[in-house]
Amino acid sequence: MKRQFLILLIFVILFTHPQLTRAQSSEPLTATFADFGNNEITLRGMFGYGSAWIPLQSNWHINQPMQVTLRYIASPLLHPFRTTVTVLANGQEVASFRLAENSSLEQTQTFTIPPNLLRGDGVSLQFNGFLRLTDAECEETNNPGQWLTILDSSTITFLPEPVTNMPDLAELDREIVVRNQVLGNVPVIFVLPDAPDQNVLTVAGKIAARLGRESGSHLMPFAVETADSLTMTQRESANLVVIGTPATQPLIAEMAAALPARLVQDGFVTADNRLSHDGVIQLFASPWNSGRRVLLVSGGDEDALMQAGEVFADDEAFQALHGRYQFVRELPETAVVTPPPPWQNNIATFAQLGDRDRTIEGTGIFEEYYFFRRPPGWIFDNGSRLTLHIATSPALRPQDSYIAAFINDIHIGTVRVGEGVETGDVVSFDLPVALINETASGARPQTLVLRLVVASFMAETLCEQTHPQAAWIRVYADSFFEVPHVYMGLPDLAAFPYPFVSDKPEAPVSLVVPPAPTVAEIAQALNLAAVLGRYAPAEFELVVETADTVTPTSHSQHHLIILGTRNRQPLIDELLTELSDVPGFQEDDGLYQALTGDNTAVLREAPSPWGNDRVILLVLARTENGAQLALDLLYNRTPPTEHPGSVLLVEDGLRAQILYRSVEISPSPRMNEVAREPVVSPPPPWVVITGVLVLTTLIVLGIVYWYTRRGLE
Amino acid sequence: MFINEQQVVQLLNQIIAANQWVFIAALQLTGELLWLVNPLLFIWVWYSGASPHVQNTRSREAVHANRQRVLLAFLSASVAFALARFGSGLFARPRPFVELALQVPVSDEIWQGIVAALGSTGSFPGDVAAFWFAQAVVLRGAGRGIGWLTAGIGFVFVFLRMGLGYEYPTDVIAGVCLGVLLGTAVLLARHRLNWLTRPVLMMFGRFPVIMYPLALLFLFDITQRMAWLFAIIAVLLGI
Repeated sequence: MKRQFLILLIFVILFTHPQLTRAQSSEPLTATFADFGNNEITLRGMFGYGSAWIPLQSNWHINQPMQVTLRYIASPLLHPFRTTVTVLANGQEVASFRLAENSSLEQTQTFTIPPNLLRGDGVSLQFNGFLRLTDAECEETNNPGQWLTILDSSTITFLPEPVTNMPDLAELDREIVVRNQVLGNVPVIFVLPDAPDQNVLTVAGKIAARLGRESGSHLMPFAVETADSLTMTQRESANLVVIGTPATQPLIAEMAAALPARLVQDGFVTADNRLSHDGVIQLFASPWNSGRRVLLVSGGDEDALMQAGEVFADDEAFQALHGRYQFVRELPETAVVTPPPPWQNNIATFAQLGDRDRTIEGTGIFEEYYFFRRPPGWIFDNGSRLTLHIATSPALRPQDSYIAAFINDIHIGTVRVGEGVETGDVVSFDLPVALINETASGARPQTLVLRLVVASFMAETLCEQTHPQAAWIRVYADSFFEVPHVYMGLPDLAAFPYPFVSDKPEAPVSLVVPPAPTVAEIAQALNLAAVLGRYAPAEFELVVETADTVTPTSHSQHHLIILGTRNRQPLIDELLTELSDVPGFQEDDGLYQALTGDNTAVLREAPSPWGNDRVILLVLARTENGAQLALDLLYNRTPPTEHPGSVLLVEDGLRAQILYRSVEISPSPRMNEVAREPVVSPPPPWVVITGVLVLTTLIVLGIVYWYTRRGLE
Repeated sequence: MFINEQQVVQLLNQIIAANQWVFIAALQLTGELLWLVNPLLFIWVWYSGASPHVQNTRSREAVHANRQRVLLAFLSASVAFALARFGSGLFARPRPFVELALQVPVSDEIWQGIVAALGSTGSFPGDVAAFWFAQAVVLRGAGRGIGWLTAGIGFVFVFLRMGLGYEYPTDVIAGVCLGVLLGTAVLLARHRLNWLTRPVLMMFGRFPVIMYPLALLFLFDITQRMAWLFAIIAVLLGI
């Protein structure tokens, strides 16, 4: 049986895609470590350590053992009979092996992981080496010849089955936007009524923003279809978000048999068997594929539909959703207790930013990376600090054990750790805000890549075997940033999505699509809504509407994002005539002169001509492809540029280029008030004390000599 | 062009480590031998001036003065050594062999033993320098030659210790200053310390059978880096 299974595996590996095999249901999948985003893993030193993360798609269920085929090369100096490698899967030992002969050539080692360890978001593979050079009792622990590299071409074979459990609204975002889509792609399609009106568009925009906010980096671009245009293939392969009333959305009737809250005429039946026309949110297995999900947002009429849409804009209401369906009226009125959002009172802990306690075990020099984003529009002010809460093993040798912290490769401080070092558990570093806010090249990175270089070394006495796990350093998730701040000047595309979303109360945001929008144009708006939701630090008011409903009077208090090409979006020319010309582009065609072809677009941010303190963002393109290119940039790279500027040229395959930097961009003047480093560093205490001792000795000897000369002993 | 103290240590290390036997000899000299030389010096000074053939008042006074200096030298050196050890614990300055890449032409086993023994204590200020120069100042009163000889031996030891990576130049300078200051202080206060030295010397005259074996024990304790003495003091102080 085992042989048959192996033959099947070999067949799959040989006759399908060389790197990635995507099988249909009930066929094993094979993928390399590289497919899962892992690089080569090198174990160094006698107690070499390495790890890999194998994410599991959230709509998979794995009931069969996972087979891992490790490919590795190792130092030819290693002793093959004494060297061992032990593999742990999610903390449980699953395999140990000795080194093969001729290990300098690529070797393979196969083992399986039992299915009971394949739960949660993925599998953490940990490789613990015991790399021996000799069979002597005493041996060096950090000889450079002690190494073993696990190649990223190592493979994993497993048999995923679709999750069949009953979907729950409490897990709505995970059910619709599948997590860890490394190997497959489960698209999300918004299914709207034919000729959707502004209410439907706004409800869709709010749902998209909520999914963007909850899904974070797992977000994939949404597609949009109408009930008529939705193909059978799409029904079977995608998770669907169906919006509309029973009267306007024919797909609801098609799915009637699968609905948790039964459809009766133009209403839905409640749990107590009562017909309701209230807004309702339902989540259920797709009638076309039980492995896919359908989210239905509906109601007896347009008002009820809007009510249902509001749930997605409200944090507390959304967190109160649970079960297979929920009528809006049944949502509890009392506020749900939620963890406080980050950056309140200028403070954000690592836990609030989505991280957890981290423990670095073993001896050597390790690098731990944290990826954070500063809130939209923030410029850190003087007095900003990073405070690390750490705990260290008492076995560490303080002479060469330390933690060095870097943000965006800027050194912010180093602290010595180990026995006897009285730094305490909490260490604060003042942030060099001028360097972090703006690099030497003028870029203003919104991402904060915190790199902790952790050096752990233990005092080793000759021949004394020390367990490598005795060396550990823990960084707690209650470590925090404390950042007084000011806001970036506007208009500035480097600040995007500020001011459209912000931690301070902001004006409503209108995403304006052309009249009678196409599904592609609606998809652009929904994906942009998802981006705004993803980076919004607080609730914000979002409206998706068509150009014919937007007037200077009605939208004087709105921030506006205008989508669509020039020939389909009448607001573009209307607004351009009211805006001041950009220097260099002052003729009739204005900024359109900058477009070098069909696959180019210009993003322009400017003060709104309709209202004070409001901002508009225009997408200028001659073709749909050009407009899509600009939207893709906003979607995939937020902000679209790291350099300040209000006009950005986007070209296919090229780096976006700032065309104009308006004068009103004014970074905080306090950015330059950073205290200078002292020219000469203060001397260590022993130099000062030696100087004092020498001086005292000379004075005492001088006095003694003087008295002796005068015979006054 | 300035030469920093790390470079001084590395330069001395290159000189000593150029020959394996020189390096081993330096290890031995600064190890047990250093602490054997000191009791010999004390015995020399203790008996200098004493003659079984000449017994007059002048010679007895000279012997008495020399023996008083030995007691004072022991006192000042012990206090200087204890203060230096206290300072090394306080500042915990890593020794050069921890921080610098030095040449060590001996087996790893021997070197690791030394590193394990010394690596747990700091290098500042130099305890050996303080010990030797405190007694050098006091013994100088017993004869310039003895004083300079003691200081000379001290210099040899501290240079060897720098070359072996035990101490930095600032450690040594601080140790020398500490020793000189304490030696000078004891020397200036020698008349005020008669309450201590006179009864001890009187007991040597009256109860030689008890006192000389006791003195031998003290001398032996010096070869053990005064481990017993500090242990007794620690017990008495309840540390």
